[in-house]
Amino acid sequence: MVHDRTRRLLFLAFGFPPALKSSSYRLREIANTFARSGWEVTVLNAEQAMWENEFGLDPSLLDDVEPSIRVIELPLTRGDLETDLRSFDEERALHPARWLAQWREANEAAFPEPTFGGWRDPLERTVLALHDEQPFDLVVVSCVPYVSLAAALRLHEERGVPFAVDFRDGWSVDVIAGGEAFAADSEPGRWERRVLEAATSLWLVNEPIAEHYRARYPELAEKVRVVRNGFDRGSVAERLPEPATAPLRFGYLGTINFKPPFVKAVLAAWREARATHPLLADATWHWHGNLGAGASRGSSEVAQLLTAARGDGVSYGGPVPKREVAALYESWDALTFMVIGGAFMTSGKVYECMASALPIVSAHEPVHDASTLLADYPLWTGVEGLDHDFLVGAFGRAAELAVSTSAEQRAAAREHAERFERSRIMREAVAWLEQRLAVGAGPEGVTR
Amino acid sequence: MSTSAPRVLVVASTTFERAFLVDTMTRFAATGAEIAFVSVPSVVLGDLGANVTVRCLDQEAEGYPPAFWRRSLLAPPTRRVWLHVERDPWTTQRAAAADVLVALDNRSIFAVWRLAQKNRTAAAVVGQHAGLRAIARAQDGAEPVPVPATPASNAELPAAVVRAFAESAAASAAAAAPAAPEAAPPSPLRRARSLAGRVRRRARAEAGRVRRRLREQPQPAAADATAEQRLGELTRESLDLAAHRRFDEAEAVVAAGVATLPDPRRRADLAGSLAFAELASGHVPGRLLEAVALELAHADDLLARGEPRAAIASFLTAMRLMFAPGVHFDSGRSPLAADPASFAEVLARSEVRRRITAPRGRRTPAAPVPPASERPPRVGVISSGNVNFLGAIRTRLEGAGAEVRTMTRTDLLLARGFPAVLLAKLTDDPWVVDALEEKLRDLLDWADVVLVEWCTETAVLLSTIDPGTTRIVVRLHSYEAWTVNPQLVDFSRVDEVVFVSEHLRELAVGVLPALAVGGSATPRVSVVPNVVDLAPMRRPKLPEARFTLALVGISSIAKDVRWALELVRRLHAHDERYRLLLVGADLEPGTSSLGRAYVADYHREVAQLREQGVVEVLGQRRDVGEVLRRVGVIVSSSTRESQHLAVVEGAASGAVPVVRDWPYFAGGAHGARTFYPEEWVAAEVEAALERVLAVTADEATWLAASRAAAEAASAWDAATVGPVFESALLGRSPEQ
Repeated sequence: MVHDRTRRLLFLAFGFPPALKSSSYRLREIANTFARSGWEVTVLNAEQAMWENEFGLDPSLLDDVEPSIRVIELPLTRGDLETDLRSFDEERALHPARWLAQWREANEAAFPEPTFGGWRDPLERTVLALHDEQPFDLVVVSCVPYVSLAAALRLHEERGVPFAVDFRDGWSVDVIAGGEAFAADSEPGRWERRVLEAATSLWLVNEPIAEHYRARYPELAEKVRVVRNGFDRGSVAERLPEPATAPLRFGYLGTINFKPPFVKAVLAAWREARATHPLLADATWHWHGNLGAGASRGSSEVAQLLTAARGDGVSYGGPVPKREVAALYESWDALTFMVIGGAFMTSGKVYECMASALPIVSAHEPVHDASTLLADYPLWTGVEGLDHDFLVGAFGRAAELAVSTSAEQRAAAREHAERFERSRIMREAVAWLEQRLAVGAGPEGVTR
Repeated sequence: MSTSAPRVLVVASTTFERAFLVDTMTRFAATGAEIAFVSVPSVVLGDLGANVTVRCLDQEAEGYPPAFWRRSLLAPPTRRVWLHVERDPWTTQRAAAADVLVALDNRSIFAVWRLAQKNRTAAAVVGQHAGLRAIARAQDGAEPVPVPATPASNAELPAAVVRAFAESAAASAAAAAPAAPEAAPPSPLRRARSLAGRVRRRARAEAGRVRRRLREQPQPAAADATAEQRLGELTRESLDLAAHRRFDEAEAVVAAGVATLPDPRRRADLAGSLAFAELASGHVPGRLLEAVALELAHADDLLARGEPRAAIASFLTAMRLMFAPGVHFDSGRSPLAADPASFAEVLARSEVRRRITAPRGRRTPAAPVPPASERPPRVGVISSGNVNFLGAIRTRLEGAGAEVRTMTRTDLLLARGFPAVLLAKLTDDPWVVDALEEKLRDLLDWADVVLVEWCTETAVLLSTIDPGTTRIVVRLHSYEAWTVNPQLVDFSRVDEVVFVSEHLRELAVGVLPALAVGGSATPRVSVVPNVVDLAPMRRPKLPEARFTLALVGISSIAKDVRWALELVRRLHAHDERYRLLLVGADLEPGTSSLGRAYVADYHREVAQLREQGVVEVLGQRRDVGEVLRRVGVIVSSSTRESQHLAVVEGAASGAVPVVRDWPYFAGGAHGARTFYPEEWVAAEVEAALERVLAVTADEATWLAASRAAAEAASAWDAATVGPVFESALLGRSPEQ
């Protein structure tokens, strides 16, 4: 395909660096891949103050953003994350829960998304204004927030700009409990159909979610592509881990969005494993990652449980800047992979865990998309949910693997993960999308 | 920007993990700021350095007068915190001078927001992280996490974006403006809601008018002023005497003065003010029941005047006084245990209580649980947090094929709070039934029988709805008998109440006539000891056992650990080989003045005895069976117990029991002496000393006593007691 000018991409990427979110790495890779493929990329993100109020910022995430990418940080806010009490009125101060319920309801009046629905109008106006100033050839929307879909759809309907959806975990599928999140004839159900019918393609992070969409919209099945998350080369030390010596260091890095009973269960298993397995007698367990947003940041019930478990060698060290992730993994002897959800959930962290070539203790539903990836990982200790005795044993087996795994076994573990290197996955995905555009409604068909 | 250390006031009003609070305050203190930490619940954080001071507002509130409790007990949680804060000059003065005000949780938001209205220059934030950021800003204006400039982003927003946001804001403002006359008519649904809203508003306005009329009726203003003046004088006089610990004289002033006051509210104010002040001074009010009765009379008066909300607030104030933990749990003696009939009599006179607990009955009686030959029983269990006594029961039930589903107190929490439930019951407001139906109906429809473990608020909530044909069993262990909750249960919707011991049954029936009236509205009452698997306790003893005593479970004052310390102190004086192991979570900080005094004495004594090597504090242990291998004598030093499972477990291990004749029950027909073999029980420390010396006189004697104890304990093993409990639970004989 020959272009008389550089193709222009508008990427709705809320959570783009320096926001410290689990999705930030994927968003960065998508933008970089398009930029490296010759596109002029404009990223729309919310302003940093909002991300600071949520999980915080990681400036080191900006290290590898392609310099040509233009980032526009919109003055969008989330009132629910506000921690400055001077911005509260008396009613909110007196009835915080009631205020929150009303705020969510008000958001849903604009778009069926309780947290972000209120962004619809400014977002739609923004994309139209930016396009009218200097037209785009393609819009990519990464969800969440789903309200971005409304903006992309409007630009498509009013200006004819094609758009692709990076749907990640999808919308109409309940990735936590399994099954349908909402009915086809509900308001979000109608929005989803309208958007997906108009979209050029949709990407999803795993096969079970992709299958949900193929089954729900058989006529749109050819648009669906699995674009897994992956690990970033820079997050993994080049050198393979050596056999460990006591005291062993276990680690967890990832979003800590578990409910208190979950955390109590894994801490109880850890306590018993430490009390009963000689290799774990003085072992430590280091938790890192985002824990609570807004007012509950740092003081959620789970934060309290972790602090109270300090006597068992447990610590919580907060989120870790991206540029320090590889060194952190290098300092550990074994990992815990903990994640919510089931068959529809993968978690981006599993790829990084596997690439570390460290033994992995799993605490999640046995029927889980991560299990399908871990099944062939040679240093995995298996999974049986939160079964206490199983977890106690798994900690012990991981400790034994940490001290005994040979260099060959480590290399095999690393090799298992290699196909999930993120830039490789994304290059293939972007090339596929470009091909679709070339064949179908590409930039040439854009009405200006 | 401040050159000196910033002054920070932190308010917390939920119960956080102690380790977390210590960690949080340590991080705040590490900034170099001066920290005033104000907690509504009592906390003991230890020494956090010179720049952290801690204040517990519930301790300060202990002596607040009835008027405070009437306002606060029914207030939304956020306002309740503010009511505590605004009354405390220590807090308000520091807030006025603070550079940073922090609410550590949602409940504290309103209090900090109010403080921030007075101190207009301080930063006011919610959350730990936000607090640390605000301190950093107050110190030098710097962000603790510097906000980076995005290299690739525009320093300024593109003009198109600025325009788009301005247009969006304008459109949004226009939409929020009052509807123009030509606006589309509201939808039928909106019209219906609007109509319902108008009806509610009218009803509220009418109720307000009625209340105002009633308020306006009483006495002429001059008489009112005189009465108020008289109340003020009497209150000051009695409180002044109490402050000098002349409690008898203070009570006499009140007793005489009450008769001179013309209305129920002032009489309740006078008596209640002194009673609360006495509690705060660590003194059990001599005329406790009189004060309670006067407050209940005030509640009834309010009810009669058409003010049900105020009536509930007053009723709860009376209950707070009647069942003050300081009186019943922390004083070492309980007026309720001594004279349950008088408590029952005072409660029986309360119209508010009668209306709340009026037997609503059930439309259909409970259906028999299907026989095992038909299908395994379905058992729902609703616990109130502590599931210590459910393990063996559940294992047995599931082992026999029963299906068990559980709910916890948290599952039943209603956003409006428990006092609102009582108000709804008083006024027959259907919202509470609707809300509880939503939470409980699935379990009730599924289960053949629902066991409510502990007679707490959970039992009150369950009995608020008709259970249908499901059998309802409530198990009352011990402490609940000294709380208001059993008084609020509608027992006409309960089929069986299980007590753990005869003496608890006696006490509960004494204070709860609803259990004794008979007829179809009265539940069956049974006594079944706790079901416990004793097999893990039966292990060989270690050589040190003969001279090692143990007290397992020391966290509440009722365990009276100081009695055991006195016992071992005397034993040690006799023979230095005697030692005492203290097993379990440490004694909790008292919630009352009486309790705090006890806890302080305990810490002093135990520190001394540990130093001498007489006492070893083991803390919480998962494997009690292993600990008991070291133990030759198991001690029960409690003031009250239903059974004291640790005695049974200890006996099963071969430790010889020495059981204090639990004083709360010592005068009754049943107690430690009837629950356990009489030779195990000692009336006083002296008798316990003699028993220990006798049973450990030599190895052979101790071994013989040890074997006898283990044999006696088998009477309480799960294999023996389990079928009896299952019979009570399922309402059928063990053979069925």
